[in-house]
Amino acid sequence: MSRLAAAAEHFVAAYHAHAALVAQQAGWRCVIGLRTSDGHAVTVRVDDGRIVAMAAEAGPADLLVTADADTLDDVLRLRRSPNEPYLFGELTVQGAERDFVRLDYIATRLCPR
Amino acid sequence: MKTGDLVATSCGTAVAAVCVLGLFHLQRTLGGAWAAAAVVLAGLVCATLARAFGRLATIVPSGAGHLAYVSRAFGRRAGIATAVPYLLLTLALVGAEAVVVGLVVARLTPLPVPAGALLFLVGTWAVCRAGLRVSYRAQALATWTLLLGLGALALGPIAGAAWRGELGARLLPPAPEASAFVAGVGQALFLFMGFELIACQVEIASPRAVRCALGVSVAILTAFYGLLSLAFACLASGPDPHAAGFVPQLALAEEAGGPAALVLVALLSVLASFTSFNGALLSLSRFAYALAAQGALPRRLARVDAITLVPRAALDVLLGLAAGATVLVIAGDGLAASILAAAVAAALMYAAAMLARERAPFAEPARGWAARLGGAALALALAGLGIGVLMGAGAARGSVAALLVMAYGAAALAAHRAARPARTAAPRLTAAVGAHGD
Repeated sequence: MSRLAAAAEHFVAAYHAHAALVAQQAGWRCVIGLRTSDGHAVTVRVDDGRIVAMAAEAGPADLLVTADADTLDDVLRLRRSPNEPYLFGELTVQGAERDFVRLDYIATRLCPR
Repeated sequence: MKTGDLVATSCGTAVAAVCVLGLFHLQRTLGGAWAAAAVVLAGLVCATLARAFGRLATIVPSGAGHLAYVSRAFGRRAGIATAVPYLLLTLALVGAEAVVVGLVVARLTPLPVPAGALLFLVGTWAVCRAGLRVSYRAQALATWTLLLGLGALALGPIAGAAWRGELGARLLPPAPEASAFVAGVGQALFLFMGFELIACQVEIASPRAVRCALGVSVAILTAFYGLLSLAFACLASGPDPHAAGFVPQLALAEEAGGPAALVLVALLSVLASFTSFNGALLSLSRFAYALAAQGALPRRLARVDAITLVPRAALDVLLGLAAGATVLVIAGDGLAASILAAAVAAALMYAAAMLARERAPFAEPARGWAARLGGAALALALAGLGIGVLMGAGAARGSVAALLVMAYGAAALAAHRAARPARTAAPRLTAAVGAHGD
């Protein structure tokens, strides 16, 4: 398993462990692509607010998150808020604003201070 | 998002009601075609900037825009030092915009100017707080109608001056001093301020569409402001700008189209201000939220409402700041100061963007020395224009300097607090989550 896929699994487990947060996202459907600048990719499918599939490969995505491997690893392992690398251009997101805002909300809720 | 919507958003952001006031004062300072020439020169500068922003947005497609570009090129402190003053002075401009809306409303209703301004601020804030964003289509419709309506009305005074045989005298007054003209070009940059913010839309649009829209919107803005400037030079009645309640766009509408045009332009002006402020409030509140999450602003601002996904605490603070700016503009006669300070910050921010474009990761490996030198020269010229605006501010120079010291002081503080990477220990899966949200 790649480092990116392992980090993504960590994030998904943390998210699913937070029942109230998952419940808040009821009805949300989205395919999220994670890409590192060194070429690794993970695709995550969200259905009704829950992650229902994850594949360690690039695929069509509604929301594409790109960063260098260390930054994405830190964010997915909840060591770092996504806001900081986003603000300074080290992490970029492309896709519908509603999906972006929701993902940002989830990541920020899960990330400790 | 399509190119047409992007162009409308870009023009809608740049064309605020307060811009027409700035343009009118530029016309009174330089006179006739000289003001239009200053607009065209500023437009040419912005056309080069549009290409640079297109490149920046392609390499770093980030909604954080300028902060992200300069941070990637020069580091976080430089990013904050140039982006935060621009955003703060944009907020100060909201105060000026609210006052102009108040003046427009006061022209049509018995509502006093402060009440109209406050109603505008609170109404737009309430819409944002409910999580409602004006659709891009509605924003585009309001923008196109205003541009086409005012553009068509502008032809009236020009044709009238030609009919009276005054066109040459109106358009070719004695040349202004060189320093006044340079300051005028710097002030004209203010008119375009915000056109580049569509580079932040690269998250929901293709980089190609963004690049195309940047260039097209600069061309449209140059033509629109140039035409309007000539129309102001040709107004027959010679309106008194010092008269209470004077609003240039209403004077133009009244002379060219009578009472019906006056009402139409007033409504469009308020609508354009509303759509512009709605977008600005939502963007600025998310920026404040992100800075708060990073620790640069109080943590309580980093709370997002779970239902609307809007950072309401940040919105509340922004309303307070906008209301404060409005009071300063009304009580402290700060209309000119807020416009000129924003022009200086825009010039410096644009200079930083030009320099960033010539650095990694934005500069192409094969980029020639002539292009790099040209970029650096334009950056230097932009910084010079900013200084020219400050020096040419006349009686408002002290207020402009005070606003700039406040904005750059706050930026230095934010840079000090936020420039360190925040990294925390990984939580256990069952650990309590952070205090964000509901």
